[in-house]
Amino acid sequence: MKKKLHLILLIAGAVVLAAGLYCFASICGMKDAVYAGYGVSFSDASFAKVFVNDHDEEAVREDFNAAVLSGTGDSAADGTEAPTGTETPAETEATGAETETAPAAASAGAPYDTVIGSFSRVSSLRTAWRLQGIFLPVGALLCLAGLVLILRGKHLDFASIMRSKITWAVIAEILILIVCLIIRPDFFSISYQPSNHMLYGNLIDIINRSAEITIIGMGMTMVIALGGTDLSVGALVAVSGALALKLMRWDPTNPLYQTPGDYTVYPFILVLAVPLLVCLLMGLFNGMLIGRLKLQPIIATLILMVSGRGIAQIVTNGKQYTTMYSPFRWIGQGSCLYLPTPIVITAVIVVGVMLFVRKTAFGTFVESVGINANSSRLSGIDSRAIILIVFALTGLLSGISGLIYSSRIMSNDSNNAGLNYETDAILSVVIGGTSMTGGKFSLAGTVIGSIIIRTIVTFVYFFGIPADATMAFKALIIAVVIVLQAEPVRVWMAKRTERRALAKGGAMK
Amino acid sequence: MSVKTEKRQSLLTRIMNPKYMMVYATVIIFLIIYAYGAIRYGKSGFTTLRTFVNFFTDNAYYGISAVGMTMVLITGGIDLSVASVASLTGMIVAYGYERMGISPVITMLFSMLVGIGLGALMGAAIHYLNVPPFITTLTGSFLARGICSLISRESISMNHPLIDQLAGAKITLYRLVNLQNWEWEKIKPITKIDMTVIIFIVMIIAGTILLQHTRFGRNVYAIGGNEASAKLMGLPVGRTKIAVYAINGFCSSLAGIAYVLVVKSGWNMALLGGELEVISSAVIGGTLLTGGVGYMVGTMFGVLLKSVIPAIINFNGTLSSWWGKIATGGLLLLFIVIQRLVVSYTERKRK
Repeated sequence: MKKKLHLILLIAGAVVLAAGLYCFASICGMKDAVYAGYGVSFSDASFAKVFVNDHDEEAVREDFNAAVLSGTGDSAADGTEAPTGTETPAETEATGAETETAPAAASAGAPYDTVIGSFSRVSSLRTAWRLQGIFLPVGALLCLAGLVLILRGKHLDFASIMRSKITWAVIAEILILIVCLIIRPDFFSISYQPSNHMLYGNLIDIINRSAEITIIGMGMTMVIALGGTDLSVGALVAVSGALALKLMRWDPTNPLYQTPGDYTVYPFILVLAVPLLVCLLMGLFNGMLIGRLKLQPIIATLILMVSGRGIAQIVTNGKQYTTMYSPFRWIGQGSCLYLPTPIVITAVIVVGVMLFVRKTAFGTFVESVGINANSSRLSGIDSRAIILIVFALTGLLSGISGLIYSSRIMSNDSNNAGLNYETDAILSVVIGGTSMTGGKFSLAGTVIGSIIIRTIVTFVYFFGIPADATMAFKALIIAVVIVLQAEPVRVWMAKRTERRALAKGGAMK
Repeated sequence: MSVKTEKRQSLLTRIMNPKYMMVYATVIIFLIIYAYGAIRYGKSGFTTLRTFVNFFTDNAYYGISAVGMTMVLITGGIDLSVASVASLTGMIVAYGYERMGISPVITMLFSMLVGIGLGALMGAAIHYLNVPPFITTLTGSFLARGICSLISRESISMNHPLIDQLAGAKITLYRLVNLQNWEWEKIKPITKIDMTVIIFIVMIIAGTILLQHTRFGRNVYAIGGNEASAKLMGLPVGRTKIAVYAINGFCSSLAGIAYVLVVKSGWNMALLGGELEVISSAVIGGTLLTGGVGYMVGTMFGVLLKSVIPAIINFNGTLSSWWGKIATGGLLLLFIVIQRLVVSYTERKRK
């Protein structure tokens, strides 16, 4: 019976997913048709966002301007901003505000004979666009749930699910996403951009932007599982970016360190390898202090947190270099497998770390050292080596994260690169259900936690709230998640569900 | 009874008690760095009393906050919200007067209440919900700074006679020139002690009394030493912890007021990253993050050390200020290693 339920879940998911894909395909197929009457495509601002980029952008923009100005358009200026995929809050707000004004502009209809001609087609397209946004994630979720259940073959034990911390994280994430969907029906929609070979959409953007924290979070999870914290990751991000840009713009043959231009004079691999190596060494330094000298992790990593940014400033002499070198741009802004490269890098790292941790005994060693370092030493685990490896790994991962960050801005910024990354990473680990006291850890939970944090940020932008105030909402949502996850609360909930189950059983007897 | 046995010990053994070692290390390193500055830059005025007083003035607001932080660290907790609460205080005072016309006295009292309330709330969450202090106070920090940004995103400068008066209230130091006629003369270069420094020193003294000479202080040390056994001994663990966080909230809002006196404005991003400055001052001063060990005097010297290094870099004039950060990091490393050595020494001795 249970197996059948799982299969039904899987099939239903597949059907919904197929419907979503059909919508997606039909949007792609009908795109050219829409271009014939592109005036209408602006009646939905998100359409503009999708379709503007890979056609004659200037002409389209001018037409749009003219239309909106002749109509109601107060906020014409907002809409003219060509979305470039790197989504800023201003643009998100603009797309939200535009939805109402634009149809009015279209109906004012100055040069829009084509508007009336293709209106029905466009509105059906819009429906497809929104349906796609609902079908795709729901289908994917159902499929995933079915697959997981079938593969694990576990029976659904409600009490144990309620007791798990990841459940609450997932529920929180889904709740936030549902609110987003209510505010913007096309929130989940995904579109393809041929000029960049990349898929665009809010969901992809959320995952893309959470890449840095997720990557650091992989190391941080194990650090926290050991019972420590690593505060130096943000500073290491700055160091890595500074070193990479320094190497790109630094000519060793010229003693005055003059910048040679927009390309690297080195073999490019050095630009990537040196920062990573330095970050690895810094991680090793942290590990040495904590493993050999038995220092408290918070304070040992505070050293590099304080001095790391100073080192980054000295590396670049306090300057801010910029570069246009395209292989470097690819790391943060390019596309790979039709996805933004950071997502692919993150996926590779997450899978790699998971395999390393769970398919070898390493993860168990980490948990053992985190629960009781002394007894694991007595049972033959070299806790110092474990600590060293974990901190070195965290350093290396922050280095990778720093490369992605500096590639996104194509520059180095020793003051702001990686600012507050340590707190975000720790929060994502804790939201993901790993206890700060050490012991058991969950890498998948960390990924969810980091996505939750990014979703909150996106969510707050949707209300048009200034970026500075994001923190208050972050705090509120995190407070709710943490209270739900708190030991006493969870015990109480679990007891309550058990009691209910007991009461039900009693009634049946 | 215990008082009597303590008195029987000779003064030397009491002073040389290993539990004070960390404080001594801080003081000695401060003296060494000060001596280095005095030898190197004595001619350009490093040894003057004014420079010395400026060590206090530079980081007075961090110092005020460090008083509360020391207590929190002694209980084995940590508070990352101090800088945000201080920033919120500044914002409340500035916004209250400039945009709403409320007297600074009322807003100051109100912001102190906010600080105490937020601290108590976090303490309660830490004690009753078992949430790690790190996460709780981080959330509190986000909350405070977020509210700050919601109030205003731009810096509000304020102009109120009371603030000017408080900021201008200074004690000028005199020295005795002639013993027979009791002639006093201003010390040159003219040395003045600011209001913020007075608050700082008063807080340090009050903190010392609270920690060393009251039942509450002994409870704080007991909880830091071992919370479980403190609970078994029947000490009011929950009440004490909540009180400690509330006191820390009070200290942070007081630090915020001191910061307002210095900059005369409120800004939502003020003192960004200040919480780690405060924590590292306390740690440099010999407070152990694992709890149970720490003294106010050490914290004071920790704050002074944090002002000496930038002062030396300033007097040098050629070093870039980034070296200050690296030097602070190096200093932290030094202290932690010393602490480690002392701790392992005492452990070995006990065995």
